[in-house]
Amino acid sequence: MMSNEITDLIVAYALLFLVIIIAAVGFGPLDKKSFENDIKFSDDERLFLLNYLKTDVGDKKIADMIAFNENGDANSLKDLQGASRNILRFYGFNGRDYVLRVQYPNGDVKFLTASREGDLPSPEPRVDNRFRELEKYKTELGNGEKIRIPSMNSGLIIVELEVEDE
Amino acid sequence: MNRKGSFFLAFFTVVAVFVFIVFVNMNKEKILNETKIVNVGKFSEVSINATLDEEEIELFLYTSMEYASFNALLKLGNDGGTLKEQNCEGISEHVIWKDNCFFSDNLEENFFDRFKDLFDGYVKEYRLDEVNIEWKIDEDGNLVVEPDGLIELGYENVRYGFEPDSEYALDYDFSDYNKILSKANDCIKDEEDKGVTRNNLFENCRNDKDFRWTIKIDGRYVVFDVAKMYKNLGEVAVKFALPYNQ
Repeated sequence: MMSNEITDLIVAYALLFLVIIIAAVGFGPLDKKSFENDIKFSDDERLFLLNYLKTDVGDKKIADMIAFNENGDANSLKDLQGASRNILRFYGFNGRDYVLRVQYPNGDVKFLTASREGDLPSPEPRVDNRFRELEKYKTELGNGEKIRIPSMNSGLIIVELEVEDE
Repeated sequence: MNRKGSFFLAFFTVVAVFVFIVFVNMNKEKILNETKIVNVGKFSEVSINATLDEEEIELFLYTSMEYASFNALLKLGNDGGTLKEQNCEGISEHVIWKDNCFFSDNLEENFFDRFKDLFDGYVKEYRLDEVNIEWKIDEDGNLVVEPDGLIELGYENVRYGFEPDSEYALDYDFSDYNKILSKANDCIKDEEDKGVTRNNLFENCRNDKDFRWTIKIDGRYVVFDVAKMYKNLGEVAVKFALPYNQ
């Protein structure tokens, strides 16, 4: 092969490569913007949370149990935690980690349940940093899906479900 | 074709592809419309979010009506069914039912006055200012409260509106006030008729199966708390005092 022909071949390949790059870059955003990027449904947790609040447990709805718990005792919280644990474990969230919390109008946050074992707060607080982190995770609201329901006294109660990303 | 011509053709091809892509991108919306390709993702997302928002608001409104009803019945009972602005004489935080101070003729309206205050507090905090509340008596004779108004929600260039359709039927018979007064008068009369064997036990009231009676004597009055369970929310008591000849 002559050197001219080799040069032509290299230039031809370079131009072909350039055409492919331009086409890929040019059509890429069109495809993605129109048909992929906009279709994002993050409604799973919200739908679950709505249904969870409407679930009947014995003669009460979960929403009522949460509202009653504001003025309730340790037993009412235990019942609520137990019922919540059963419902969330049954649903499972495809093995993803989750935590369910509720904040009352006075700012008090109550931990209801989480995916991991030993998820209920210990009655005897330890003082190491890991425990502090865990306490924070249980006693402060995060960035999960939130639904507001009325309080029996007045004001609003925030129920939050935080689920690990897929 | 000579070598110069080949280079020109190749270079022209690259430029042509580039120009075509720029053209397609600039006319994207037009092309999508002409080829009837609809950007379904965006509308589906808005539609799903709107449905969930509506569902959440309906749940909030229903629960608010439920709790406001319960609390309004409690307040009405604590005031012995008297009007809000009525200043009646009381004893041990119980209204004395005598002269003009009795439960009102229109207990439904009287209940609704208290209910509305509580309900408005909830919706204001939720920022649903466009919601009003009304009451009616349904064909079964129950008092029903229902929200009224158009709730509008906004999503990127899309507005979605709906009229709330949840209504709440009160499970309370306001004629209970008359029944309670009549029973309390009978019990007091029975007690007074006992004469020297009077023991202040008001047996007929205490053994009543329709209500739970708590009765105390306070000076020249009998103080009553007459309670009944309201749905699963708790007991609602009518509190009042009646004169008693010791």
